[in-house]
Amino acid sequence: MIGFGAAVVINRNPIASALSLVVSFLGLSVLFVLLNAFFIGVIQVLVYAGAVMVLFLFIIMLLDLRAEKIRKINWLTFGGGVFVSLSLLIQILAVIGSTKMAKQPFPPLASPRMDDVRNVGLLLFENYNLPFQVIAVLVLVATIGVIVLSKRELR
Amino acid sequence: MITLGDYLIVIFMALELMLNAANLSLVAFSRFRLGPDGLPDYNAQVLVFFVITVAAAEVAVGLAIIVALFRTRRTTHVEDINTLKF
Repeated sequence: MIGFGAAVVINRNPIASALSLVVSFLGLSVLFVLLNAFFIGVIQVLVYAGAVMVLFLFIIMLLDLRAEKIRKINWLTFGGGVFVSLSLLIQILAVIGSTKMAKQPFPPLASPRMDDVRNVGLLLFENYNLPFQVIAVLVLVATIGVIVLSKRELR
Repeated sequence: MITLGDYLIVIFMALELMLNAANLSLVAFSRFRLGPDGLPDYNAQVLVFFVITVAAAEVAVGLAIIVALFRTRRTTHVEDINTLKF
């Protein structure tokens, strides 16, 4: 999964990087299912591997992007990015390794089968009802914004 | 590593990868921190749900912006887009 995630960034061809993004998302949903989060895993496949990837591929083919030629890589920014991400990784590993929680395994669940969707839904509509409706308004605003942006006359 | 991508769309894909990394850590924490009834902490999974929704909306708006940009400038390279007003 991490390999395909790296392939997204490294590939010169946008379509190839989009397809490796699909594989990376599928691996991520398998990880979610292995962590007993079945609802999130299904949502991941539906939303990302379904909707978002179709959107990406559609836009790539609409804009007719080719595999780009190798441009001059700005080594200063590249080295800066590698330095920041590597130092962050080392720091996180050090912090996690120094805690007691890193040694102990995952605690066992009460029962292997649980009503995942039911529990998430109950929590969503009882404790998080207001954020849920705010999200609904956000999606509506995003839809209207996309329609306005896609109109032929921009100004 | 986001600095490697030259197309705006590839940078968007890298953004999705970062959001998914955050989602993965949230789900792992929810599995690790069981409640008193032995079930996972579902607050984290609700947060993951919200993150996925916001990410999908953001991708839609971002791709619409990219298409509008391509119509006016005929390019989606990052290095060719260096003015604020055109």
